[in-house]
Amino acid sequence: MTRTEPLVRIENATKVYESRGWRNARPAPVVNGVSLDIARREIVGLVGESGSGKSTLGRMVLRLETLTGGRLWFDGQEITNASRNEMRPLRKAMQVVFQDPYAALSPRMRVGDFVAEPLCVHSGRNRSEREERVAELFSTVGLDPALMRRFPHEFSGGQRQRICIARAIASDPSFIVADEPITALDVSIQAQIVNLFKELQQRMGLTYLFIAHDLSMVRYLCDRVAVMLRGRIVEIGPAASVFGNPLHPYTQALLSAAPVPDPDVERRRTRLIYDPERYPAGEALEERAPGHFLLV
Amino acid sequence: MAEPLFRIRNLKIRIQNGGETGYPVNDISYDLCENETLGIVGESGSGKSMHVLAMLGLLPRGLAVESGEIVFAGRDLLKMNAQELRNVRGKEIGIVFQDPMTSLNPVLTVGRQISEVLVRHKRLDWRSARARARELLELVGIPDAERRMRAFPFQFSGGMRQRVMIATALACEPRLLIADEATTALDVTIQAQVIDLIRSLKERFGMSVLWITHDIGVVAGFAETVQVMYAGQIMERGPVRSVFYNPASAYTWSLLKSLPRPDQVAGEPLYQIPGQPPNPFRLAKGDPFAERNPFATPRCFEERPALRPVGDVQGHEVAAWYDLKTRIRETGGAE
Amino acid sequence: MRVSSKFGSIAGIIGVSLIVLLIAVALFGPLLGLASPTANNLMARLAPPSFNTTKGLHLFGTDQLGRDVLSRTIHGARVTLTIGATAVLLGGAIGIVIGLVAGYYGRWVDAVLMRIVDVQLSIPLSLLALLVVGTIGPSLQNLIFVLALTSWVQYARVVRGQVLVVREREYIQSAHAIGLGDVRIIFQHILPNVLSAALVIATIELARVIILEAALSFLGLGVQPPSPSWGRMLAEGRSYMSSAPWIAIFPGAAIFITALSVNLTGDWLRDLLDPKVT
Repeated sequence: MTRTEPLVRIENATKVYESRGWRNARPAPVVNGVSLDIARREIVGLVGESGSGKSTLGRMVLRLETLTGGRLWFDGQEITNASRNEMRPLRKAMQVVFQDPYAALSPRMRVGDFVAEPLCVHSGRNRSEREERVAELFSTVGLDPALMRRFPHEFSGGQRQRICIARAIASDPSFIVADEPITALDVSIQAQIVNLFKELQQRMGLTYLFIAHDLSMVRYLCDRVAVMLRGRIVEIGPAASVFGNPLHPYTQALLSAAPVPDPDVERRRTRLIYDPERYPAGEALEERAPGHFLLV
Repeated sequence: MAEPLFRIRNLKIRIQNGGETGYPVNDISYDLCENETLGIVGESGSGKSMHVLAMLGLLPRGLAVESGEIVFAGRDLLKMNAQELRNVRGKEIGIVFQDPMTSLNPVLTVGRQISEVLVRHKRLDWRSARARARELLELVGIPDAERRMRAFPFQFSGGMRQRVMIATALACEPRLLIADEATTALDVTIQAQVIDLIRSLKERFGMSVLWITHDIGVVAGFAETVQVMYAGQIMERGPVRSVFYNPASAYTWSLLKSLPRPDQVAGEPLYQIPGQPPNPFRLAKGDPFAERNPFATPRCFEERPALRPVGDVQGHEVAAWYDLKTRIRETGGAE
Repeated sequence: MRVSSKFGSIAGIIGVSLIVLLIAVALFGPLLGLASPTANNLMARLAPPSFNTTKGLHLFGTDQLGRDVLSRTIHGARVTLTIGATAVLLGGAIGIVIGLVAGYYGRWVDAVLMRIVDVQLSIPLSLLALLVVGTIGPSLQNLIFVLALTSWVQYARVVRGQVLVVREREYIQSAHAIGLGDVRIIFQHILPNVLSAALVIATIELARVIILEAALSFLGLGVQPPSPSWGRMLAEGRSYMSSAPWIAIFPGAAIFITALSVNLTGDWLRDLLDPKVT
């Protein structure tokens, strides 16, 4: 295993949900032939409209969804068809942070127990060692360890998201999928959480797949950005390159629509409309600039 | 400035919960002029949506107006009975909420729901109401309007449903359109289209728009006046360029500063506002933002500031004891 | 809000006190030295409630065989509460587990279990009870078994429905993401969040089970005479409603008070278990 090998490798991944009922119409794939490598310590942003398949892709990478087609590797090991038992040791290394910190915490569980849970599964620590570790995790994410005996409803959204992050890093993972982790937070809290993600990444050498629709945050936080549209990656490349020189008409439309907190800029800009009818669906990714690929 | 279309004076809304009393709207006063587009920016708990619900007589249980008045076109809405309010709502004030799925009746066709507003408020017969409803759907950019009239809400995408809501809100050519987080649930590209649509409809109908959002970027483009709210109070209001380029409230300044700029150096952390959002049950006695404000002065913790004019910009007001520019210079910026 | 929360706790206190009282009566009532609940006294048939002691003290009157209604009601509390509580616990345990399994695993497991539920729901419960008791014979154990059998379906349906909602919550996904096993996810994360719904069902079921027990006892398939149960007494007193209403009224009132106190306690417990309210 070499250091240059990607931590996560997805090849031609496809997800089709079986249609329900008697109608035999084969539904369109939610994720359609996506290939993506994520290097160690890299932050890859995944943007796209709702229903573009970005969250499904995130869950597939964690094998919380099965793959209908394609292959998946984590840390050099193929896990495309790994069973739950085979996945269990790997779960220590891959974690997830969800969008809604109100739905992500088990309402009847003390937050300290919630954070400690991965430790119960993945390590042989006893109760007091676990508690010590939870206190340490609370401090790491900027929460007072004295709060660990409380229930979730006593916390604000930003604090809850910190609790979720503490749980995600408890087992010392190498990879975290963050699925819209700041979307549901108050504006005055978002920067706190983004800074925390960044700080943890630097301190622990983490790798992120950061799913978001706030383009300015993605641009700030991510090394590379992938734009998804209808289950496919239509453009992927270094953040500076994709944002500075968007190639796909959909990316261009997306950037022209993102609100900018500057009245003069807002009033001068022209919006581009992406009309899917006018563009061919595309066949394969083609490199247009160093590391910057476009679906053509 | 034109005659105000409505005027809110000293509005205070009380919430009771298990023996605790809180004030989600804590003594606010402002005017909205005919033809004005006012963007109200605030996070959860700022009172931005709550005061509008009070205005429409739609406050949820447990909340009540404690004092104040809301005068719309010469009449105090808080003194109206339910029937009178219903007549104002939908006819003179059109409303678009965040979630169009819960605002539309799932078992009635879209055409029927728009027509109903026209039959009820404009006393049209069903046939002409239907014709007008179709025009409205075309106006808000729904393709194939004739066929879509017979469709049910679930057959529309989120953006299209929001267009239907706008068509319903505009049916009676209201004098005021209230959009409460109307584009928050939509994708960025759809959000831009809805904003552009409302902007052009405003020109066409000559109505006032009250645009409520948590996203300060959204109002930059099309509001004429911006009002920033926090903890049930108005922190700052004024012409959009003045507020964005010369914020006088530390809260506005912090919000703008905490957004990543396109030229932000990677690795340099974002400016983060310390602390947690305010709790309406434990309001500070002074400036509500003081405890999160690196520029706060001792007086900020003691006494609540009233709105005062900022410089010589017409209409730009701030509720603050400090002069932000001076404080930034004195403290050497915030870090 | 303050009023309602205060009212909630007052109702809870009333409910709990009543239940404690009922249990105390069931446990210690027979020690009061009242007339035997099964002793006939044909001289004192259908005596109305009174403090008059000429025919023996009968505060609640006597029934058609001259048995003391007070004593029978007190002894009936024992029989009825034991049967009711055991049946509800047993039915609840079975129903909750089936609901959890059906809701969590879904697919064919769910389909099979829910079809069984449908079948059972399409058979009238009392007919099912009659059939089973008729086949295996009347006894206390069989009666409890039958009552539990008619009861688990309600829990299973409600719990399954709740599980379907909870299962999609992000904390369940996150439990999968850290590699928790099914048993732990079901009992640590899902069960606590569906328990309050099950508790509400339990309070409704307890009242229903007591009434069904009465019906079965009336038909001779439940508690065997002369052992008193409220249901039996109610059924027996029916034919004397116009001439000697006290025979039915006292056990009827006992059933009512029990059901009410259980319901009040149930509401209070639900609030208590909800971490948001305390």
